[in-house]
Amino acid sequence: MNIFAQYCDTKLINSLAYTGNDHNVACATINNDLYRIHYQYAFDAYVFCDSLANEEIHCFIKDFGNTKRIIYYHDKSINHQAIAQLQHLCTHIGHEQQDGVLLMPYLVLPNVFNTDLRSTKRDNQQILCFLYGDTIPPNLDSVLYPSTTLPIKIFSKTIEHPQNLGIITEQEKAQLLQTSTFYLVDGKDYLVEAYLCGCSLVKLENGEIKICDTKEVLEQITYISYHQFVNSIL
Amino acid sequence: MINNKDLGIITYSIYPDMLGSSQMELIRDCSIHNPYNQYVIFTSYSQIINTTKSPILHLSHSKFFEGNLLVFDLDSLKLAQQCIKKSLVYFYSSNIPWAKNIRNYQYWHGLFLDDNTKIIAASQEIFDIYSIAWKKPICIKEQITYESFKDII
Repeated sequence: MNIFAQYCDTKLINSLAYTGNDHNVACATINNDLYRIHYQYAFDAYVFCDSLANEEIHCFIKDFGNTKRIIYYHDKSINHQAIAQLQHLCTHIGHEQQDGVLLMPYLVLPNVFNTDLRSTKRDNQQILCFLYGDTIPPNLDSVLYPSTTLPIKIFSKTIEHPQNLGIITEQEKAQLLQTSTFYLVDGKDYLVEAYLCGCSLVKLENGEIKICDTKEVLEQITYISYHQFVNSIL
Repeated sequence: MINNKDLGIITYSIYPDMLGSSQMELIRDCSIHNPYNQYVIFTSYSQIINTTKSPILHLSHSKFFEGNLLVFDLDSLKLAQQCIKKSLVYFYSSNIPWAKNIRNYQYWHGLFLDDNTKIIAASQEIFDIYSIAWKKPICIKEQITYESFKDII
């Protein structure tokens, strides 16, 4: 299946390209040329993000919702107005349990995040943290420079901080996890991936870094692969 | 045969400011104290009046220079890393370029984690941040003078 995904800096969209060989995924921003993209490339399925949805996207869903598979991703919070307007024309997915919205499970890319290519040498001096969003969580800010000189390396597309080392792909995240010893628990992102790549999980407690009981952390998470999830909703 | 004491400064432009003056005086003082080594500035544009009699060559000649290179900005660092005859590149950093200029990680990785690139920090803060983010700088030098640089170049 040929899938078009509206680009948005989220884990779901960044991971779609790695969902396996069953689907071809094209990811791009939509600059008022969604209809041109549709008529030119004739995708089978579309993925739109609520935080970037505009009138054009809503019109497109109303025009083609019955003939194309459309996924409407509530990436920040549930948009009830969008659900009411587009309920039967697309599949709504999100991170909260709501009527009309499919709750997304924890998704991983086992074909990318694994220990098959693990380097024999791990850097014991760095603590990794992958962030989405525009701001640093307050509890994390208290252990970054200049508050401390802990070797924490964060990766974000938007946060301006000396310890933010820039933009990385999912493949590069896996390579970093495979050559590092510690991953900082922040919310729930990339915990399973870090475990699959052989990292130990560490957490912030009273402004200090403490090693977590990985089993205890992961017992609370049920995950499936992106491949399974995409196939189930398309 | 590469004489590792030979030093070239690469800078796209030299202006009559503190940095430009420091670069010229550094090369002059190196030449005075080490008369048997080669010291030169590579640049494509100079606004400074050369009262130090330091040799200045065009940037295009830097690729043939056999010795260590000293740079003070990112553009010069990128150019210096392409020089095929160089020994080491010393990057004197007085700021944190990636903090407000978010780019691909591989871009910064290639610049700062190059094996032949050594970082000189201009302050303790710069030293700490580079140590956390990339690699430990070789030293802290607050001033660009022969006296402070002579032990490393």
